[in-house]
Amino acid sequence: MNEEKFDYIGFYKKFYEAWEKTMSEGIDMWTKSPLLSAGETGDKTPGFDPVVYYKRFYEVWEKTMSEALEIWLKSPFFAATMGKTIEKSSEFKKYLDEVMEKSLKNMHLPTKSDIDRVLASINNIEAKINDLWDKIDELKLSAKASPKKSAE
Amino acid sequence: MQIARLRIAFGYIDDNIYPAIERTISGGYKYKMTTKCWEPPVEEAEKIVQKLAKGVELALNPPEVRVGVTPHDVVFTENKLRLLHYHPVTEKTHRVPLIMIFALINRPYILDLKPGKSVVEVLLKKGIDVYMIDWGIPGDEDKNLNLDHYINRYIKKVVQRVKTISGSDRISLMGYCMGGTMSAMYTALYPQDVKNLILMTAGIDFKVDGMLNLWGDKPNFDVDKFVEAHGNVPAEFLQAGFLLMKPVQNLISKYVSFYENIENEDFVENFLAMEKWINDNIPVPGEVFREFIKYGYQENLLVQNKLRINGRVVDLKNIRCSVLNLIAEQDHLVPPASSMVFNDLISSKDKDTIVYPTGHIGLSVSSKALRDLWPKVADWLISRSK
Repeated sequence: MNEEKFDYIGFYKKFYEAWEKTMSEGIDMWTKSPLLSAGETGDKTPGFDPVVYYKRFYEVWEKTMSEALEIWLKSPFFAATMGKTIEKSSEFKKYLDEVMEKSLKNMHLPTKSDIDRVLASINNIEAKINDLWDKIDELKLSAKASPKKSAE
Repeated sequence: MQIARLRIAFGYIDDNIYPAIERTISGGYKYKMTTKCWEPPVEEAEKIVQKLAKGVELALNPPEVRVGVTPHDVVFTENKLRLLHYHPVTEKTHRVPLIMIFALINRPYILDLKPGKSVVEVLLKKGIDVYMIDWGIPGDEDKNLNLDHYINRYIKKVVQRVKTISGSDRISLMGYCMGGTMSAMYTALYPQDVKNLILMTAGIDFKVDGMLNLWGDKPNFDVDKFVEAHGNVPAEFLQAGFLLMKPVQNLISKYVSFYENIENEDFVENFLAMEKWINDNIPVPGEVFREFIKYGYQENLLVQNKLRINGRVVDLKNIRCSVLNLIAEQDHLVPPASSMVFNDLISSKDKDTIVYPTGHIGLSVSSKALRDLWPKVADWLISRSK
């Protein structure tokens, strides 16, 4: 999806609809609540359950907000902005790491990279040992397969 | 005690506060406070307090969640990789063993989450000889591990070891997500080793309409700068990305649902096991991440048969074995269109696709999939492993 294909007007419309639906539901919930009953006679609202009302409001909000946010997160503008933020923060982190690395080196202290190199070497040695074990297994198998030949 | 206090509080409001408000605002307003129309929801409040108390208790003293408990032996290790061999629970139905390859993101125990919620358990009950690769948690020293190392070294070594242990000259591979993509690559490079290939939500075509496909694309994400700065991809970065894909569901709805079902012990147990897995992110070695983003999401080389690993072209046409392509219909991580194309790119004559109505993770943990889908998958595998 590129910048031209993304329908920004459609997105804002969707966002408005989400807001509008949620607000209508909220106002509806409030006006129907028994705390505010129409007229001066004090109409009764039997069986009023605030939890049911809250749940309906929440469900409308959840559905509409999810839809609106999904469209936003899929917009090229969001992707580009997030990418730029990650890029700049990466540059900053790299700069800080380099400063730290140089400082440690100047103090003749081992750096994280030095330790990583040692660990990577140990891993390579382990891999070589595994290869040797495999070779030994292969030789054992071939020795079993032809015992006379191996005795000679 | 809390409930008694609430009753007193509501009673006090009912008897004193409302009439006082009513007296104060009487006359001039259209809307008027009434006291008789609304019974204070003492019972509801009681339930809410109880649920909240339980939620706080679970948050402060979470019970120990044991995951990946199906008995197994570790039959091979190299660096952080461990190869798990599960103990059979019934007589083996055939000689061809199955190797499960999970993604490098998150831990593989999602395939063996807990008793009764385990793909491994279903397959073992059907008599399949199951192995699983646990990639372990990469350290900073592993940042240079690339696709070549994962496929031509680790997976190849595991396949050799499984062949030796089982005495079978061919194996079945089952790859999940990124592990599915790597399984497809391995099968294309070493077709002689693989008798059956099962892909679960494997990304093959990366130029499809999807959130990750957009975020990872070239103009938006400079993967080189990112990997140079970070070495390995931090687990938190991946976690944040996944949460952001469905922010309302992941950050709010999930916990509302947990609150509503807090009295259901089964629900709570499953919820905590899933939470443990979701938050058990691991870093991804930088170099393999760079290659996956660049060759997959940005250049889409695999579908064009242009991907080269250590100089060898990964030609999907080399795949001739039996293939089962499992796709999750509501997958938001790997869009169905990304996996769907696979069967058209291979030379296999025996190939099936199942599009199952669930999400990316639901494919391996939903009760419905474990009951209806996985026994069928096991039967498919058994009938082709004789």
